[in-house]
Amino acid sequence: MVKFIIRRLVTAAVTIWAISVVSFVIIQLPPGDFLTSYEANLRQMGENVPEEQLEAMRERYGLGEPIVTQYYKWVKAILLHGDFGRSMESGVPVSVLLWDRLPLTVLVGLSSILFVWVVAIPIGVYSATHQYSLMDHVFTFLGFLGLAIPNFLLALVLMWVAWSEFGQSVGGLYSPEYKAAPWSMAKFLDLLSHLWIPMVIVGTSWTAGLIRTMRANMLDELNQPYVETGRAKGLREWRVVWKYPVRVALNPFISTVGYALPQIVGGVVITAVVLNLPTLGPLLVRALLAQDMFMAGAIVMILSVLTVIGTLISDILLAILDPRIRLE
Amino acid sequence: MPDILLEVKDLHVNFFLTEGTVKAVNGVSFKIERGKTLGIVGESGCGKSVMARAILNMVRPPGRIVSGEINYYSQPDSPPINIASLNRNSAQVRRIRWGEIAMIFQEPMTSLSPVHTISNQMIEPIQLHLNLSKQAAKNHAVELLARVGLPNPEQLLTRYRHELSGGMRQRVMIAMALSCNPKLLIADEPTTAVDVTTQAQILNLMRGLQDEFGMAIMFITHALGVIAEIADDVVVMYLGEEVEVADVDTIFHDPSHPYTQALLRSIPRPDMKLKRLETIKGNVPDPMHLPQGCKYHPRCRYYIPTRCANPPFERVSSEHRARCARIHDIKEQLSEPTS
Repeated sequence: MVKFIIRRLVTAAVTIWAISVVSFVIIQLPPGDFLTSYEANLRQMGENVPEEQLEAMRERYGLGEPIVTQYYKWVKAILLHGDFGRSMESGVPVSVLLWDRLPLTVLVGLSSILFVWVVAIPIGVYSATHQYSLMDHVFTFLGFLGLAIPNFLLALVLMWVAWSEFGQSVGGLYSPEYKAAPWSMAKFLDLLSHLWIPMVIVGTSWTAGLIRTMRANMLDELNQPYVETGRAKGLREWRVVWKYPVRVALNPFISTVGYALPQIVGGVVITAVVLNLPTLGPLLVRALLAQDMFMAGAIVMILSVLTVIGTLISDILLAILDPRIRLE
Repeated sequence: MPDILLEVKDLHVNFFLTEGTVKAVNGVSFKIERGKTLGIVGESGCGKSVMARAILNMVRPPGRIVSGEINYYSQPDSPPINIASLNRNSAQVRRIRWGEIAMIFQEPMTSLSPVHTISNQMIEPIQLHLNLSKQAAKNHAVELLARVGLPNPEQLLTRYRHELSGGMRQRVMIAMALSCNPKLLIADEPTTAVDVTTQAQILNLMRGLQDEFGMAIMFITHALGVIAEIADDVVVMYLGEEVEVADVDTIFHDPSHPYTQALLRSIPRPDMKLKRLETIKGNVPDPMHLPQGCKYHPRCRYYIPTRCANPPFERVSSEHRARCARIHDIKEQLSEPTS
């Protein structure tokens, strides 16, 4: 097991390195160096840039030096100081913008996964153990409905419901009065009361698919002899089902942990924009539109690293859950 | 008066499918004596596995026990419990499962869970039925694994099924089945998926354990050779019906039903001079469309249209019965081969 984890850690490190190269290439892709455009931008706005400041930045990013040196300086700054460079659009360090949004992105992502699991697993199990029953058909119908309705539409509907039925301020993750407030219990509760909308919306599109996956997996497993052994042992029926086939059928769920975050950031940008969520998705879109390459590169980098970490976590979880995987 | 442990009376199990109803078990009756071995033999699809599951009231929808009784006599003088009449999820049935009647399956590979340790799976029924502490249950499991001839039982408990060989898995299943001292062990083709050497070892083991634990065995197989080795009494099944019931010597030396006779002729025998092995002509009919009258008639060499319309389950002698209208003619035919 330890050997398995070490091997996975090494591959993860190599992958992250490769990703950093790709992200750097993205930053370098636009013609000219970004300092030229930064200077031009500022001049256009009638501001004068002191020559010393430009010189310092040139030194900081290694501009004019070989591209390998530039890459080295970029990586070193990230590793040692968490410095991703400056956003050209706003002039604020990228890391400040990132740290502002990353935790909330992860929070929305994780809560959506949680929502999906809590809903999809029991329904999938029920649908499989009651195959072709009335409720199985009802769940299938609702699932496909959830799959077919565009997320942003659902977002608009739920926002309206939250506003008209519960009198909530909609959009964003906080009520206006808490937006700038320091963390407190009240702010946390306020966050929770706003979190359910993105959680449900991001969740529904996935839930349908995962219900189907769970149902199909369970149908495969339910007829396995080991389930019959459990039944013959005199266990209660729910105990037989939840201890044996569910445990085996869960594997595909664990493997989704890895790509859940990037999918949530990339896949629901429109929803995030509609809901005005302070997550990375809208930030990435804006960075790309404004050709804010340090920003975009950093987000791509962070998302990829999160994917790698997610995959690592799901690999380790799978190995814990399924002893056959440890063999290899 | 024989000491009856289990008495199955006119058991019917149907599967209600959209394509039609399949009568998997169609009026089977037999008795198992305490401590004896009953062999159930028949081709694939004749309903023997469904019957085994019916005895534990484990037939799942779309299948259902339609009628009949499964009377279980826990003690020689105790009133019977009709397992067929109980709710299949009731506590009463669950107490009987494994605690009184345990079962081992054909596929030792898949009848153990892939993701739980042997320990986890063995301790579960011991704790459930014997109310032992976890440590006591573990000790009991170690004893049993040693008893079925597995080396390093303590270490084995921490293993998973894919780390064991086929023979080891079946031994683990047997140890597990005996863990709560069942009075009846149902073995559903336990030697089909293992090689011949292992098969012989497992049969020997089961015989030894039967002497030691004193449980009755219901041994289900399609292999007559295995029946000859282990059974005291035999039920021959065909398409959900029993076609012949007798003690093992009678079945092998004086079979009455044409199907039993044909089965015996299709066993290769080294003492016979080399000739083409006999097979039973035709195939097992589609279970949705069973033949009218005698179910075996399309494949029977003695078939006479009107005579075989409704064969009785006839008594050949006190403990020997066969479902054939022509038992006595066939006997005469066979006894005068020279005429």
